[in-house]
Amino acid sequence: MSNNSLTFNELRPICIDISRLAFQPKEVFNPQSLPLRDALAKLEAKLALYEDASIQPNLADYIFIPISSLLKQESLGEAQSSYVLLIISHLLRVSWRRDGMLAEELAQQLLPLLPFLISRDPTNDKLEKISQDCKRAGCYALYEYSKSLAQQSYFPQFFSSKNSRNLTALAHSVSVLLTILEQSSKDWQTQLVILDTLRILYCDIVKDGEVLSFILPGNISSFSKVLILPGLTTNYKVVIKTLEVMKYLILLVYDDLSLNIHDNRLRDIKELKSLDGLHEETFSMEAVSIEKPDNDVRNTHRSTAWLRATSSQLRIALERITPKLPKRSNIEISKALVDLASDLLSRCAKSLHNCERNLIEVILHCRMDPKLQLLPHTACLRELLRDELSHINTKIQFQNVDAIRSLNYGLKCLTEITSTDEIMLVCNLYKSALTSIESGVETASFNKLGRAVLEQSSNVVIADFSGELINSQNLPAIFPSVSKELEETLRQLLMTAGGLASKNGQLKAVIQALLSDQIGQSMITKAIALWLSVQMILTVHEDRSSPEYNLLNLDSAELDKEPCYDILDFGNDLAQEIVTCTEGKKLSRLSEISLIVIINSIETVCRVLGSEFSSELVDYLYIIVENLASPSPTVRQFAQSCSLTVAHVLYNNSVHDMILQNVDYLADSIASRLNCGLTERVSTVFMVISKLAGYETIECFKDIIETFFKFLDYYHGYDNMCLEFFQLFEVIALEIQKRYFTADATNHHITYHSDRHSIGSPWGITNLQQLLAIMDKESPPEKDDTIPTLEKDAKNFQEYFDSKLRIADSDDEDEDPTTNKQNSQDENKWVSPIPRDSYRILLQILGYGDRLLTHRSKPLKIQVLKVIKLLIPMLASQYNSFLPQVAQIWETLLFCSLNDDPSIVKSTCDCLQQLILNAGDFITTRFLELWKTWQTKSSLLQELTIPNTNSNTTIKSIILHRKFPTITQIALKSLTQVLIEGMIVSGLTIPDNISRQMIYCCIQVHPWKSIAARSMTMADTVHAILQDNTL
Amino acid sequence: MKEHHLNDIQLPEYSLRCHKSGVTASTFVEWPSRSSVPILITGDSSGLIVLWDLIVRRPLVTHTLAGGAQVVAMQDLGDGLIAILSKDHKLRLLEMTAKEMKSLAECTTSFEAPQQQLHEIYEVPVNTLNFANFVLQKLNKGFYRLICTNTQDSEAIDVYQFHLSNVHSLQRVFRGVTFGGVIQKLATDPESVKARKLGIVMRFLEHQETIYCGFESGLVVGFKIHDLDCERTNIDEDADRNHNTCIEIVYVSSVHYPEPVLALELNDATGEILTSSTKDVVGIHPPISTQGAIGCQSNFFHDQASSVLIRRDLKICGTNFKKVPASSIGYLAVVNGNLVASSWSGITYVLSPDYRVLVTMSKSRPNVFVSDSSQGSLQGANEEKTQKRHIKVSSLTGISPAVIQRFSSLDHQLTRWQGQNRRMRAFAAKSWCIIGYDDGSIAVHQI
Repeated sequence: MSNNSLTFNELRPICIDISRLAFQPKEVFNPQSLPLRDALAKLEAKLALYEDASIQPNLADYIFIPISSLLKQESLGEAQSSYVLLIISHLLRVSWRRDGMLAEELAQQLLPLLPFLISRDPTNDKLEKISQDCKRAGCYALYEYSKSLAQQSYFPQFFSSKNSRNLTALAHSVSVLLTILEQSSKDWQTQLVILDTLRILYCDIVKDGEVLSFILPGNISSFSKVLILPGLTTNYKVVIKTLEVMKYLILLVYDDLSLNIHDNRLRDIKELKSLDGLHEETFSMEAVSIEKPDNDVRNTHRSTAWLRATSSQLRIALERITPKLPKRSNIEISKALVDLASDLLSRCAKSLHNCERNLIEVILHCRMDPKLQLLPHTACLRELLRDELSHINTKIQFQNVDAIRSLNYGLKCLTEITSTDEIMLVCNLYKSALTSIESGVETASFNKLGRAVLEQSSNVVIADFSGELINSQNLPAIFPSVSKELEETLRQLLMTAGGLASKNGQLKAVIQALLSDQIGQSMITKAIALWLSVQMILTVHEDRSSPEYNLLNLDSAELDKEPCYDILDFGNDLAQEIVTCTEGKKLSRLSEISLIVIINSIETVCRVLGSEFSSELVDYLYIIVENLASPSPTVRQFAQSCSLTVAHVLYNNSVHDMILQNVDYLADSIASRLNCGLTERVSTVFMVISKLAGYETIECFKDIIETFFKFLDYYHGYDNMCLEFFQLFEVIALEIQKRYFTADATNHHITYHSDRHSIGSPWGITNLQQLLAIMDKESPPEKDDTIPTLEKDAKNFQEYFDSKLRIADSDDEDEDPTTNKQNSQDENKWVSPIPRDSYRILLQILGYGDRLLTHRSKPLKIQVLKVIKLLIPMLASQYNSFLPQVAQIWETLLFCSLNDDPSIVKSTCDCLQQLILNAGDFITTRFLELWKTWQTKSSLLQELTIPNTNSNTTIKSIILHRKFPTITQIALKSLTQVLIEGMIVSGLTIPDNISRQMIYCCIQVHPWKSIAARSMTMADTVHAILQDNTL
Repeated sequence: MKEHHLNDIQLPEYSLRCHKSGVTASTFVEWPSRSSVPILITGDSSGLIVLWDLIVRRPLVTHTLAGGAQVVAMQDLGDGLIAILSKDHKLRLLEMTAKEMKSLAECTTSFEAPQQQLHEIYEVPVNTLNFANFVLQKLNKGFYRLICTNTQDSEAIDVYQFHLSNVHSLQRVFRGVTFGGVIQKLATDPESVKARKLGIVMRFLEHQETIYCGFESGLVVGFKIHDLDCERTNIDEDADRNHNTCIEIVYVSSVHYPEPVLALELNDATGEILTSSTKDVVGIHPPISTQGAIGCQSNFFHDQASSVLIRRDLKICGTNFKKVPASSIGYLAVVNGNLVASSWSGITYVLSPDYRVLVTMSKSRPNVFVSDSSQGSLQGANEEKTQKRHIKVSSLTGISPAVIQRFSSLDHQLTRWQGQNRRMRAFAAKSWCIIGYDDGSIAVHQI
């Protein structure tokens, strides 16, 4: 049994069932008959199983017999109609497909029949009420129908203008399909089928623009309704297909070639000349017109007037569709849209010239141009960009990142294709961006007006941040009104703009012009202008890193780096402005932003210039380093990123090296800041370079250290500044100690002590009075200093001359200059490991410390005392020069030791202890005076002494009579330590009873054993006290 | 907070810091064939010599003289060659090769300058028990003529000739020349000038083959050395050269008498020679009209002992001077027509061509006085008075834009970066005055 007969046997019973009902007379026929529906369903289900073209036409005809008779009935239920439509569609699919299988008459009958089956209403008004199943079935039927029709050999004439009945039917079918398309937003499969059907009809069957031009408006209107449904209502596949069908349809109708379009627009001024006499005519003429060959007498639909009318409608439709679709951010949709736009641009450029701008916009929005349509439409692109760029402010304001990206794409394309001067474009962008960012920043900072930048401790140590590597990607946004994403997008856009200007060799001029426009503008405006300019020069960098660059092997000299330097200059000036206006004040939000921009610009320029940047460090390194200690954490973050970049580019990633190898530049910047009266963070930076470079280098910067002293002369009232300076002096003193005083320092110290104790006092004197007596006898010191030993000792004529004058002055004195000189030379023989110049710096620090100890500020006092304590052993290394200092500082320290604040007393006593330790028995008399003063005036000491301490009668306790706060206890420890040291150096010069009182004080604070261990005399006294106490 | 500091004192554009002791000599050199950057050479009282790149503001080379002797004076001999006089009684000619210069210019990314010895190519012993500088004249065929103070007597002048290629070529052309005797013979009005002793030599200066010499007595003497037999330059063969060479005094001025001459400087704008002394005047010495060769001997007084000639009709000038606002001007320089004068007080004045003060520059000391003397400052009141308020100026150099113009010429541009070119142009467009201070810092001022 053949396949065919098998099929026949399968289908025959079902067909008989249907026939039984179908051939019923009209009077009895129930269009809603359920058995009929079931039978039809059964047939449909069966047919659905067959493969395409698997049924012989005769069998199909057999199956169609009952169906056709059903169709002759007056009405048919909706469900039944659906099945009929499905069955027809199956028949078309399984049998009436190949050429010759679908008879022309059948095709002619089916064409009006199928839409009729869906809805008998010729106006499609009731279509909405029809069930979706039925509509779907109808669509399938029409789909299969058109597929089969396209296979038939007669199809080219099928819809020719002579065949008007078919055309009418076609029109109806199409309108039904479009209506269903609009109504089936929830049934995307049906929509796809409809669109496929339409495509086959238009592209494969009709193919005649003239014919299609009649139904085009309806199509476009339905398509746009589908496309502009809000949100994601329309399935993306449907969108893509709609766009595709729309594209084919428009191309068929508006194709430039087939329409024979003549472009009347003026392309060149020369054309105008040739039309000299035809002015009026030229301007009244249509931009484009359709030229008909003279011999064509047919009255065609598509005339110039038609074109004018429909193209504008089409434009309106496109204008509604195109801005919406890219927002779905679906790459497939965008592709389809761009495909539509590109094809229209390439094939309907003249006929649809009014849509050009719109279509170009599509390409920009989707940021792809696969068919390179921007090139032939450069003029339009330029115009579009000009308008858009000058309105970039709204895009920035509304953070429209996508739009800016699109602009960037357009500008990039323009850069690639254009050869003309586009400077205006760049300038417009610049100006528009400037104003919009500015207003944004102003609003943003206005809102946060109350917010001052969080102040940090001034003592930020900046040497160590290698751990927290800052990636420039992670930096916060620069402007408060511009998100990081928008910032990045703007950066790209400006870079492209820079590339455009650079291509024409105008980058330098543009940046110079734009920066010079900012003279007299506000600080923040300048900062924004700077930021914009910096982004533009990034293009220079990009060029170089691109593979093309390597390929072309361009010499770096050809790249114009001049603007980089202009930007640096501008940033430098701005930085000066900020520094001057924030000196002594809190950093305002706007200054903070501006600083960030400046630092960021330096970083960018460094990246662009590469190793060339090293010649600029002289001016810019300080700005970076200084801001590493900025009170604003954001500024610090940017400064860190910047310093890492500079270190990366020039110093092999070592920030340490970067600072170390440029201490001279930093020092000079510090000096000029100080010279201008600016002190903010200056000492911090100097501290850092002192620590890094060590004293050997700092020695060259003596004049700067002197400048710090000069500041103390004038501004000793500013306790914060003084405190900072003394922190710096501490660092300097420590560096001197490190350099000269580490290895052999202890030895040195010991020899001095042994000298003093073994041989006795240096001049054979035992107390201060004797010393003073000797000194009084001596000649005034300046004479010793200045009498020249030999002519050659004078460094220059000035010294020689001055000394001659002095000799003349001192002629009348009786002293024998030679012995005097000898004496003074011995005393002034330099024995300290610290060179004289550096020693004098230490003396100077001590001198200023002495002065500032009378200052009210407690932290300053403590800091000064800390430094003095550090200085004492170093100064003692030149013992002879040290003693006068001891004499001088003693009184001040004594005064401080009487302070009510235990922490000040503690620091002071530490100093005194050092002083006693280093000065030795020189201070014996002073020490005894100190004891007297303390006894009467020191509130702290009185805690230890019991009223009426008269020798050994009243001593009761060797422990503290009450518990003290820790800080007081520490102060007491230091205080008694002074007494212990003093007793050791004074030895037996102290009367016994006083010594006993002192030890009694000490014993309450220190363990008696440790005191007794210090010296024999003290041990005696300690034991005496202990004995008394136990008694 | 500014006003206390500024006090109308011009601040330096930048400072150069490398010397740890007083900068005692400085000179701006032009070696266009060796270096594309303007170079300043400074020397200090501990014998350290530094070649500075004024654009990068860093030392190119540091060189320490053997023994660390104080640098007294230096002279640029062109093309990588400098002469340095130091307190160890030596005049050294030091050279730097072009190759070395090139390699140095590339490594200026670090503060640490390469400690590189300059090549010492010649050495002449010179008496430095005084304060005078020296003059080296370039003669034909690689010969140099040195004019300096006499080996034993700082009041007399020696003239030597030598050739760089031969260590033994040093010849003393004149020995112990003194001018007192012959000047005395002039019948001139100022009685005071009759003193036979002119005192020690203070300064030398050469201008258009005339050598000017300033004395402790305040006299300024200009003389020329006439080589009568021009053909015979080979001095080795010349047995009795004294017959063929003679010194002619062409100018005598007593404007500063009896105060010592402190500075001697050429005003390149007018061709005048400027001098200063301990009084508040600047002496102006007009350019000397070129006189013919020595013709008739009878027109001259002749000092047989030292072969010094002087025209009988030579007038001693004594009135040509200008009042300036400071006395004891130790250093003079002329920059772009303006006079820069540094006084011993530590203040430097810039004076317009008509001697008005344009700006002043100085470096003040901190107020708190320290003394490392063992006597302390118990008698400090006295000492504080003697301590100057300002830091002493110890050297002065001026650079006019015209001098550096050539560095910004085109042929040098390609070898450097754009940024450096920019800086170079900016530098060349201005006039500069470079002051070396006693604390080792060098202030670069823009005028």
